[in-house]
Amino acid sequence: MNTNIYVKIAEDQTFQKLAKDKIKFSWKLSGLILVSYYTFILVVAFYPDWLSQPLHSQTVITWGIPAALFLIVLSMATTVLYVRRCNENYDGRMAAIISRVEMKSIDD
Amino acid sequence: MFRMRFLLTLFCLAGFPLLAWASEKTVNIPAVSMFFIFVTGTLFITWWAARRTRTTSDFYAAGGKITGFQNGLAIAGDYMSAASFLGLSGLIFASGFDGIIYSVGFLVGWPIILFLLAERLRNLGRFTFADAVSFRLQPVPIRSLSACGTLTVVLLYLVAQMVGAGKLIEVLFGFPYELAVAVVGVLMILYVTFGGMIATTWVQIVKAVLLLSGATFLAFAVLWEVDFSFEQLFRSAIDNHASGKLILAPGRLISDPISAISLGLALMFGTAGLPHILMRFFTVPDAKEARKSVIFATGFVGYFYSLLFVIGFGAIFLVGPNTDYLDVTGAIIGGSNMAAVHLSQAVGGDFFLGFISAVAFATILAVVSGLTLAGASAISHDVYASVFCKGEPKEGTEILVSKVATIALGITAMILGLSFENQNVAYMVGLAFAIAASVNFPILFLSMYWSGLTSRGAFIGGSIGLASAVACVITGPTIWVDILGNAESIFPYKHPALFSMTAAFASIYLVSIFDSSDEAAHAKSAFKNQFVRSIVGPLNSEK
Repeated sequence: MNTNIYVKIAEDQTFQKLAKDKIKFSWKLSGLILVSYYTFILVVAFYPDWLSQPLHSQTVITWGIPAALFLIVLSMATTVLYVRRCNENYDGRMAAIISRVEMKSIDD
Repeated sequence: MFRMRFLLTLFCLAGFPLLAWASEKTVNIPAVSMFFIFVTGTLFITWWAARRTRTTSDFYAAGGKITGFQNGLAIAGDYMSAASFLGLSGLIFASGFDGIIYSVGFLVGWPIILFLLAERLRNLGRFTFADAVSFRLQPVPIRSLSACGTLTVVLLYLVAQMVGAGKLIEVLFGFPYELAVAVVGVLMILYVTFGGMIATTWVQIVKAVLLLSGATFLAFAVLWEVDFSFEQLFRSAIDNHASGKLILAPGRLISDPISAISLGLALMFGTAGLPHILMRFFTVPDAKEARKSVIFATGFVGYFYSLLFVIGFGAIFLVGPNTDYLDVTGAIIGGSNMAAVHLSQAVGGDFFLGFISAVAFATILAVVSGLTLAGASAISHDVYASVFCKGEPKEGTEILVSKVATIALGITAMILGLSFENQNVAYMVGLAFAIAASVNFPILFLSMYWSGLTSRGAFIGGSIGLASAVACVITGPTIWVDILGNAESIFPYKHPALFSMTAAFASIYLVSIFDSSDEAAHAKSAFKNQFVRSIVGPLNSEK
């Protein structure tokens, strides 16, 4: 009975659209993190001098410090972004699909 | 009632010799008393949790009744281990910016877990990550492999924590090494066998709150010293460190490009394959709460690591030049891992030193409990219930096996902790991360995202990942040269993840595409059903 509902959901076009949207969004954010982090790692690996430069002539703080802080802030920001998009968009669409398919299968 | 009396008796039995012994030697009285308060509190939690632990689901997953916020704190607690609190602040104290590279690597794994794994894992599994992997793959080979991966990671991590705990407590509390290892082992067995996941989670939450408060105070005290000026903080650090300006530049610790990339991979994807962390996603009611846990966990861990930067750099000028904390050779007493502990005394006196010491001990206890529970579930849920009993264990026997496994793991950890007393165990955490990244992560990730994955591919490829990670570390510089005393290492790099992950992914792919068995066809055709399930989750009618 339940597998039946899963099969029906799988065939539902709005579900296919939702799944595609959600996966695309997940990969976009993951890509952003992966690219930022591995850029950082590659700079550490090949051009460590870039991160050793002071921000400006009056300071001892190097570019490495804001780069690291940027990655921490980026991690938190993308996390918040993802959860908000799920709560405001995907969850509601999913719930609507489930109740529609369930209603339909009761009617059948 | 019986259980409570039993716990209290055990507590007293453990306590009296300690107190008697304590009065004879120079022990840190505030630290010991605060630690006793913590232990009493956690044993009370265990007693409370034991009364609520009735079903298998209560034992493994706290009945799925932990909220996203609580779970976020608990995950953050698992992350804020003694290794990261003392180890990372010590690393920043010793090498500045290189320590920051590690902290960032630990954190960036989190968003990836959230975007790609957390919800699907919660939707497909019940108690262990192998549940999700074996959703469409053959349970026997997959669960055996996952259990191997889990147990190796857990044991390596446990030994590292045990040895670390013994050393730390020796210095902080003045207890002998053996006693410290025994106290950690016995308490951890008590928490897990009686209180299961409920106790393990709440002990972790209490400790996370204590550690976050302690670290906040430490960082605040450091910033107070420099009038809340970061410029001044870094200037003071540079003036008081032998390497001067170099501490704000990437440098000596990560010497060549291959090591840097390999380390980056291990930190990021190892996080996504640690069994005791993955297991936490089953303690919340649904995928929505799983998501919420990650947001809180990332917030707390990010905040904590930012504090560690301040603590590490603060220790450079508040602890580094202070002769009270140096031995005759000018090196810091107890090694650079003690930087945060000495700093606590420098800014908060003996009372605060006691608090931080007690929190450090509590941290080890909470983390080893989570690890042990993850290891015990791999034995009872994956090996016993799914492999031996073909998924139909007799009611109640699974929990029993889990409890026996907990005791066995606890005793093994104590024995290994004692036998590795004078060994260098730092490589063990690195190896644990490499194995998690080369076994657990590839099979979990591919099972969810690649319809072509077959059981044979996952089993052979995962085993190759495990074997290559272990082989690279054994023949690498840390074991082959430093421990076995050979002149030159066979595998030239300290961090194997780049090679072992590539080996795992490549062999999983090759074996899967050439797998033409009936089972492979079945696994491929079942992907669609798994995919829907992983997005939709269990439906109400099924609950």
